[in-house]
Amino acid sequence: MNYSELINDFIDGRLAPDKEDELFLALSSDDELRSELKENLAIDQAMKDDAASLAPSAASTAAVFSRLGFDAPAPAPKKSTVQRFRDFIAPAQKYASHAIAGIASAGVAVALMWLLTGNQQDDESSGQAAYRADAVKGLPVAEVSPMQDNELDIIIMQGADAAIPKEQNEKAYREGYLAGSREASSVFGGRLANLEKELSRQNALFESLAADAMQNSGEISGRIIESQRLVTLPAASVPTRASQSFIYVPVDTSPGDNSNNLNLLNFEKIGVEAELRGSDYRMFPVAKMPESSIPEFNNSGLALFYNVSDDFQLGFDLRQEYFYQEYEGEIDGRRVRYMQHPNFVTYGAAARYKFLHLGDFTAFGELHAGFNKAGAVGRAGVGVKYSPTGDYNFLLGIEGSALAFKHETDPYLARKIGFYYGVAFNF
Amino acid sequence: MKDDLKKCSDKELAALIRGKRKQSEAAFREIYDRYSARVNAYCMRIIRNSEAAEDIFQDTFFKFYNHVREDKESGTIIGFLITIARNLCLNYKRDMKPTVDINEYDFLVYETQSFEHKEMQDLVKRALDILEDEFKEPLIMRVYNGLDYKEIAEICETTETTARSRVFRAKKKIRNILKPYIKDLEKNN
Repeated sequence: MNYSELINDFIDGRLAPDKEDELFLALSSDDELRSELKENLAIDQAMKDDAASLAPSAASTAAVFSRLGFDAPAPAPKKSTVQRFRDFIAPAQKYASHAIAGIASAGVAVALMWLLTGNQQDDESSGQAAYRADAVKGLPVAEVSPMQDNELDIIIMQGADAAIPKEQNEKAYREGYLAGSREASSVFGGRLANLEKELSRQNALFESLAADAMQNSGEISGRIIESQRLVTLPAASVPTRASQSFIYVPVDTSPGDNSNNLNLLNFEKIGVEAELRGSDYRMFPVAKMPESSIPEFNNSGLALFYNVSDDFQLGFDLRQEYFYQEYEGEIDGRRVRYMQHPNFVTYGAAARYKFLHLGDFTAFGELHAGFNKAGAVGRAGVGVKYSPTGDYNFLLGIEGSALAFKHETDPYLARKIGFYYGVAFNF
Repeated sequence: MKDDLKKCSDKELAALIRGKRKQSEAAFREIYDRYSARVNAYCMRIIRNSEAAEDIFQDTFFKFYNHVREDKESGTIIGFLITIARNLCLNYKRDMKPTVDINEYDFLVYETQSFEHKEMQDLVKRALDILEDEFKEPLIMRVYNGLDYKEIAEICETTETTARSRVFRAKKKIRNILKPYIKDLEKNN
């Protein structure tokens, strides 16, 4: 009796004690035999689990009893609400980690985008724009100035001088901010007598600041004016500017210098583009089985490109992806068709050429050559890149991929075609 | 009464089936509870068509009840049930005309990546599909139905040694079929 038979008898529960000693002695010194034991145990367990999962259906049971003229067995006890909920979400649980990872990565991407671009929007849409509109249109600043806010105001006034003539700046300050201050003093002169001195001091300070600002309007850039309420006034409609103090923080920066921006991409570019991609594919031939597993980052990838020239990029590509494989083999003289649908990590080199530029849109073609544990991978695709700023781009494209692999000595090809989408950041 | 029946041996249950109708029905229910999963497993794994397997499963219990009622010799109940199921399966296969080329029909999922345990089950199931019946039958009777080699030999009309040898060879064949995947499984572990 060889050791394979001993292993079989051992799993079968029929191995005699003396043979068991013999087997264990052999196992202690033979790696291959231990592997064989593990394999047999795994297969045996899988078969037992398979058997346990094959209870007859309720319909079959009912049919058996009905044919014999018996009452069908009572249905299984009604499931509790919790159990029904668990059953309901069970199919989704397989994808839960994947969904959570997707939501988390989307959150990170949004946060990153906000960090990278948030202050550029501030420049255009907040303090400066409101201030500019007031000044140019001659509207009463008190109605729209952000300084009306009763809460802490932090106004970043950058580059105002570039857009607003000095005269308009001065006019706006005098008609709006200063008038507002005086108006408040007048309306509440009696009731706020105890604040008169403080208000006078505030107004004097503000006038000094404003005058200084006007005189040095070319240096306003980069300065921060911080305002804060000192007292709570009885009527909310009262212009609150009068009750605000201003702290003028001079910053020594030259006009147009944006170094105070929290813009992470605002540094000298080194000509590298980092891409995060997602994709969706259809296999050819059509897959006859589901994917083997659901890894966290399936069909997603990361690519780094170096700008060789304005239109040509070379890069590195890393991705998790599925390939559906079909191939044939022979077992015990019978032809067998194998199918598998595993997830691979593919490493590759990529070349991209931009062949069309239309405004913020760029069309490009690209070629990839790489490998994974099954074989060589080649790809070709075309796509469009939308670049709202020079800092980041959005990508959309279609791509065909092929995996060349061998089984025994026969070559095979797994193919797929699909689209990809992503975001790229320029560094 | 139900609890009492649970303590009954197979022979006692068979005797009760031959008795009054109410007793007969209760005894049949107990037998069904005990063995229906095993019979169903046999049918499902021997016949690839699940609808046909369900029909055979139902026919098996129908025939079993009628045979026992007629006081026919049955040996062990599970052995008798599997014998009936086997005969029905053989009839079904004999009547079935091949509808696809054997090369198309024989396939195997062979994965190189890590799997959840359920997928290992699926692999074994598919490996069973390509085993020849002479190996598959005794293996299913042994592992899925829990029959001993003597019962397997009787049902398959062979010797006990042959039955044992076939089960052993069937397991070896499955291991060979799944070897590439199992190797990978070991690496991942």
